[in-house]
Amino acid sequence: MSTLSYPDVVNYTVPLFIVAILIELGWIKWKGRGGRCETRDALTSLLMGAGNVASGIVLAFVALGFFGWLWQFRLLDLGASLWVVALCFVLDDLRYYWVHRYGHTIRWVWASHVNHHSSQHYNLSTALRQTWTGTFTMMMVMRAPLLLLGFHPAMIVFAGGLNLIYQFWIHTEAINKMPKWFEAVMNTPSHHRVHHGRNAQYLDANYAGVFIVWDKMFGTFVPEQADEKVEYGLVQNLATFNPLRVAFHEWIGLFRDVFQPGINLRARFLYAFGPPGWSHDNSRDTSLAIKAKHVERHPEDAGKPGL
Amino acid sequence: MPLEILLPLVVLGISGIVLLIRLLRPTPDLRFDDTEVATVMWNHRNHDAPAIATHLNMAGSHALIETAKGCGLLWSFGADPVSRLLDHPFDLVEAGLHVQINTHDFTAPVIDIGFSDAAEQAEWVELLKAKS
Repeated sequence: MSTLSYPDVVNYTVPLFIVAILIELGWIKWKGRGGRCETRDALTSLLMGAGNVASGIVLAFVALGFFGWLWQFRLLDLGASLWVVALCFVLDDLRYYWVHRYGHTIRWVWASHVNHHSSQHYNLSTALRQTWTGTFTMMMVMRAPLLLLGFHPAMIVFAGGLNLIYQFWIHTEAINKMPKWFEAVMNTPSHHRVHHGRNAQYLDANYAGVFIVWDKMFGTFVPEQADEKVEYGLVQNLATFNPLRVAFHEWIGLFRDVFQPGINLRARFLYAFGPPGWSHDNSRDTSLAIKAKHVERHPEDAGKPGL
Repeated sequence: MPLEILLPLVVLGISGIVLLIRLLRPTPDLRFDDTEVATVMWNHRNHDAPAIATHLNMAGSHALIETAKGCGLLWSFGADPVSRLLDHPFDLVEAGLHVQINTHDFTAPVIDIGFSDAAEQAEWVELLKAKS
């Protein structure tokens, strides 16, 4: 692989993350609004963040090995000019949109991503509640098109780091709305609050990382509604702050379902790769079923965004 | 960033933030004011098993919910409520003025319910055993 290197931007931003969390905490305490936070929930989020960095360091060789191997089959070599970096950033954000969408619609990927949604709070510490098991989903293959097009692996990793940093500040209730032009193009606290909602109306919406335009293009955009306050967390919330349980609960559930006796191969496949909430006996609800049941109970909500 | 800088930064950062939140306590633990509040919270989370009757412990931290599908529990989990329908076998252990329920659910391992007196505890244990 040709030598091109970029700074490890996520690690360099750790001090800023800490300072921002402290500022938000002060804001919540002294203003009495702008979010909620509590010790055990925040500690879990921060430990999940630290574990994510650790697992990234330990398992980096898997993704980097794959990228290095694929790089030899590239069609072009686009170089490292600023314009190429900018284009890489935009296209990598499109890649992020689809990985994130799969993260909510394919249980195998959801098993890794679910922990990010497992807090009932929405503050800057929630942003750091990141997966430990991302490598196992093999979603790194979604970066193959960029590599084959000729974006250098180091540049792609750099763009992914910038994307993650951007998403930190949108995990807050302290900011209501940004200027209209910004809300129209960029992912914002308001758009991302919707994404973290467990309300039927807000399920499976706003997958964007940096540019909200992807959701508008692909039909998954739902604006935050003044009459529908966001309730954060999972459809069935966890009753544990134990990071190990947070990190692995859905994987354990998935494997228990797949290997249960008395079901056919199709059912085993769908327990792993079907939508979260799928079950062979209809004893659970997918997002679509939750939305349909909500409209059944509240016909007046039919036709609202997200329903 | 070199590990010898990153590691202390992360450890000190996490410790500092957690200590400050502990000291400032910006969000208090949830308490259910009355059975009506608990019923509304249960029904909001369990559309398929609405409450028929609700029993609240004296501390307002746990509610035992009777539904057509069996017993359920709603309890304060830090600042927020969580709930589980007890529709799978569970173990019940009494220890002093506490009842511990092991749900065998990886996402809600042990539910620890505190009581003000033995009579309240006995009533709950009877209900839990009878309705589940």
